[in-house]
Amino acid sequence: MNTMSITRAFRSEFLLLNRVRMWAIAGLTTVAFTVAATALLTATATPIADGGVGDGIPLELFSGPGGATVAVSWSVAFGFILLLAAFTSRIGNEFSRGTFRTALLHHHGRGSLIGGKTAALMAVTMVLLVIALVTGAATATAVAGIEGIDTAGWFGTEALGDTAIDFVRMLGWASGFALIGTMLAVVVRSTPIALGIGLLWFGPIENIIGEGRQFAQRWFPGQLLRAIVAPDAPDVVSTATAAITLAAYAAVCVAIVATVIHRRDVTA
Amino acid sequence: MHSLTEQPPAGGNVAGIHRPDIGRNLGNGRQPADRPDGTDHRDWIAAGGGASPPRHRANGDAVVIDGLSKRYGQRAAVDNLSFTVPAGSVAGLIGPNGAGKTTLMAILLGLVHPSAGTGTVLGQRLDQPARYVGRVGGLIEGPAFHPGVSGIDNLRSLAVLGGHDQEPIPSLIDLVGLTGRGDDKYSSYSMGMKQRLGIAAALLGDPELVILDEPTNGLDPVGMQDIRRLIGEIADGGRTVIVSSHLLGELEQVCDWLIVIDRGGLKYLGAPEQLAGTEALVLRTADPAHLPVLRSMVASTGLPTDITDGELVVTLTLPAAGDRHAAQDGAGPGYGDDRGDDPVDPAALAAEINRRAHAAGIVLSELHHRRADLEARYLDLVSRDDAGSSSTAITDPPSPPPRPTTSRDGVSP
Repeated sequence: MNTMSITRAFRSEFLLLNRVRMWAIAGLTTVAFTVAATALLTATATPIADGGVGDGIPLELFSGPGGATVAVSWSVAFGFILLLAAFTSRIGNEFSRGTFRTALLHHHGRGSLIGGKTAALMAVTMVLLVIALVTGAATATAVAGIEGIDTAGWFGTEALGDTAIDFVRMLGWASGFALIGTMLAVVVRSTPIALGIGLLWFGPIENIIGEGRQFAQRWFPGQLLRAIVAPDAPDVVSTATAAITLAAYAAVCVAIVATVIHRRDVTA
Repeated sequence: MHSLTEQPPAGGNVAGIHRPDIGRNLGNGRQPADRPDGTDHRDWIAAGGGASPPRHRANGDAVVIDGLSKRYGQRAAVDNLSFTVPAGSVAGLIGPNGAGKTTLMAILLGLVHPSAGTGTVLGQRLDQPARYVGRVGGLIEGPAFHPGVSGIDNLRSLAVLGGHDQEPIPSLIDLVGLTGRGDDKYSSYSMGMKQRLGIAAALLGDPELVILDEPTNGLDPVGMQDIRRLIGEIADGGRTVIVSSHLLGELEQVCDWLIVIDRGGLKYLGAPEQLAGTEALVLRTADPAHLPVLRSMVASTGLPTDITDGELVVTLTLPAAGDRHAAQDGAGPGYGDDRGDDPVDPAALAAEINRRAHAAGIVLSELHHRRADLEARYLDLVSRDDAGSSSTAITDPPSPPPRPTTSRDGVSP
């Protein structure tokens, strides 16, 4: 796998992705989800002294720099379904439609092909995350005005730094689900099955088995990714612990993808 | 069956005997549109995709396979295959459904790992496909593109992926007959248009070897004819083409080399004409005692003759390879002398035999032209095992096939 191969695979995939229709659908979905989630989380924020509201954001987190985007980074954790669906369907369809086979006839590096395709999808994801941050900040500001939340310090230089940190955290979170989605699609080579497995694990299994259990917060990938994107959420491990564990998981994912993609015949 | 009173078709040449330039002139009268710049896209493809002279030369063997096998559990999809495809030839890979054609092509294209065997593609080892895939174009298991993207953008994406020049893409679109439809979404294409786009994709990067897996699948007769023409044009640039089909008639019209496989095993390797068997005039005399006299009369033509079951059989097709090579070397007379591949006109020969027999007082009771039957021979090859015989057409690995331009010998039982 070399840089030029990955670059070509990236450019090729981005050429396919970079279409008005794709941006319109993905952009509108992102805006709609962000506006709804941010408005809801901002409007339901409750002071810690009042006990909070379920998984809602403590009101104190909205104060000061970073307050404008805190709701976005919290809400994005609930958007894992969209992200998982995007990556499993895009990569899974490559196998079920035979386009991966067609691509291999022009680019023999299987690992670099998958790497380039995933990277192109991540590039699109990055743009959508920026859209989410901007939209979320605007929504939070509007809702804060209605709810009487103090927005002092939301738009200063320090706030930009906090927003950048939020962006990096969101990017880490997205990369985790991107890798998991890609791995599932490569292993099972079927979009519905890969998506089903992903939703089953990150939905009911992680939440039911992991409910109130310390080992779940420590080891389950979904919980660790939540710790990355929403470090102030209750019952999460530290960012450093989560990052180290996730790095190990990422290495395992990459190894599985590389092994499967190289050893398996491409027959579909 | 022709009686003595029947007149042979005007013109004399019979399909299967006079087949000049097989696979090269397959036009159906429909010519693809010229390019806006005034150059014909066929010029482009003949020139190897650019302004430079054709770089594809028929030199050596494009594909050499030795003992290739692919097993899925107990089932052998490809079973100890050995064959060679000469560079510059249009090789047809034929066999019934499930014979192993697609698996074999997938191995050649580096998509499937063989279980055993060795080989080379364009001089590079088969187990190192990264070294040759860039020089090979392929369409396998049907066309597969992104449905929401236009045909041209699908090709652009593949060109970027393969590091190919994108400039020839409009020419390729014209070449495959998609002029005016390149900007339409792939999902709006008919089956035939999808196949054409698949062939255009296979030609990206100006490959030296083009491997097409059942390119006429799902096409109507006109579409099939267009694809045959296209294959001829692709080969005209000096490329080696391997095309598979389960339709013998398809390959017979376009190929100058046949590889017949069944159940993963090689059944025949050689020229289509050789597989078709001998073409002959069959004669009977009113008095069987006249047959030897008639035979000696006909023998003066130099054509092989034989008397069996009260019939005189005058073979019209080419003699054995050794004889022909000897003739070409000037070591002996015969059919393969300096007349090259000049055909025997069966109608003219029949008339001459009839005239001489009449002059000699011999009454012919029957005279007919027995045509070569490629389909019958093919069916015999691929259905042989069904009949309970364990024999195969090739008991020993065939020697490397001679160049198709100089020899059309086959290997068959």
